[in-house]
Amino acid sequence: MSEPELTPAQTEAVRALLAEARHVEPVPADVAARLDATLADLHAERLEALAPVVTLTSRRRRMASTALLAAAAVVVVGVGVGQVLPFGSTDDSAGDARSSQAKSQLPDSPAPAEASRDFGDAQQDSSRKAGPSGEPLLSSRAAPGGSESADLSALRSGGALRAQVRKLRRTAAPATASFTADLPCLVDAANARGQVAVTYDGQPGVLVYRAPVDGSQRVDIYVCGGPAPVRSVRLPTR
Amino acid sequence: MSEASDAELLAAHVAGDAEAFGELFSRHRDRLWAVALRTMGNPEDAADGLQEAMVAAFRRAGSFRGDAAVTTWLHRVVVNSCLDRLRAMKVRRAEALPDDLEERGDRGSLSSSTDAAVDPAELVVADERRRLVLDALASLPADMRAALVLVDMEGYSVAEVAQMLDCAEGTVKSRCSRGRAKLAPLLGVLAPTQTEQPDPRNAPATPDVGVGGSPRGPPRTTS
Repeated sequence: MSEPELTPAQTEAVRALLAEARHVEPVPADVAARLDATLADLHAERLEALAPVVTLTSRRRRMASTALLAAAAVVVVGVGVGQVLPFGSTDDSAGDARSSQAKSQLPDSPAPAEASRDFGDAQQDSSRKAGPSGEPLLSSRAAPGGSESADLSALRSGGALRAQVRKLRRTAAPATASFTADLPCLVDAANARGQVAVTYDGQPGVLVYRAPVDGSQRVDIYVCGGPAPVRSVRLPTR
Repeated sequence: MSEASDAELLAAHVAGDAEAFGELFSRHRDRLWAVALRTMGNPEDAADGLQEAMVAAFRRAGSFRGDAAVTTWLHRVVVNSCLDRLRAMKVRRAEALPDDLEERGDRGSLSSSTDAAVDPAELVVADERRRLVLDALASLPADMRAALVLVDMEGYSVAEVAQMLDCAEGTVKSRCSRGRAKLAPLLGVLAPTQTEQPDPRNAPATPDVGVGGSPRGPPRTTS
């Protein structure tokens, strides 16, 4: 059936009705949040595509030779407790000292429990020597498939940090991964729901995922040696 | 410091800027949402279409040749995403949009008077009229619907819409014309509404029977 031919007046009447039915409200909040989350995933995908591939072999070689990614044992203390207890011979945060310490803690050596590093080993070491204050240091548990987590956990301040942090929340082990370290990381454990050992611009550190509040979750980024997070990001919760 | 243009933001995104695309998309997101919503006919499908379009635009930004405005390109991506979805879904009718009507608030038409915002009766009438329009729009083929959404609802020129739909201007005009013709009977535009303009072929109307004088009684019988 052919459409009737409209007069100019009838055409304008239809056009006016259509214009009246135009949607003028902004994007609903839930749709906006969904788009933001998708955009974050896109950024993460882009970063992964651009980041150089680091194999486990080369990573172990690097850690053995330069200790660039020397891991930190994570010390979880309560709020207000500010005691840092080193397990190396020094608690200097100098890179050279850390590097020389790491060299003496090769994977094949029977390192002290708190210094063992094995990405495939899910063994948990819960006992360490206490520091002068008597506060115990808690070791972290190695994450299964930790090498892959370690690749993902190389954070950069200039990159799409939020997307990387969001990705780690999904893929990393809930407990911390363990690395060899002579310098523990001090973090505020208040409302902590999970932790991931990372590097931040090449420095050993840790992500602390806080308890979600009002649909969002704060994630604090600590660099070992510093008492306060160097950066925080907020993630939406589902 | 002046704000970066759309073209500058898109170029920055292609060059690797992590924030540029988000800023660009945020600028136009509301209007793109309106197009997706009116094309798809319901918020859920519109959200899917818009998300898909955003992903496509993010990944294919490098293919933008700069022969049209960035916003035109974005609209094209959104409309194509929605039309692809519609073809896949073979949707011919939209469901009701209750939350859409609730959100209307005091929005009036482009040509409406402010009286509609304060008169509840007018609001009801306007709501019903809008529902009628949206239902009628949903009955159109997807291509016609998209053309009318862009031209008559969003107010883009035929030339711009031709770029968005990647077709000739004549095609846009044809789709709009045929679409309006299909909508007219559904919207009551063709129904005669003017009683003060009688058909000249009819005899002049006689005056109404007056009420004056004695009331008429039943016809008298002769016997």
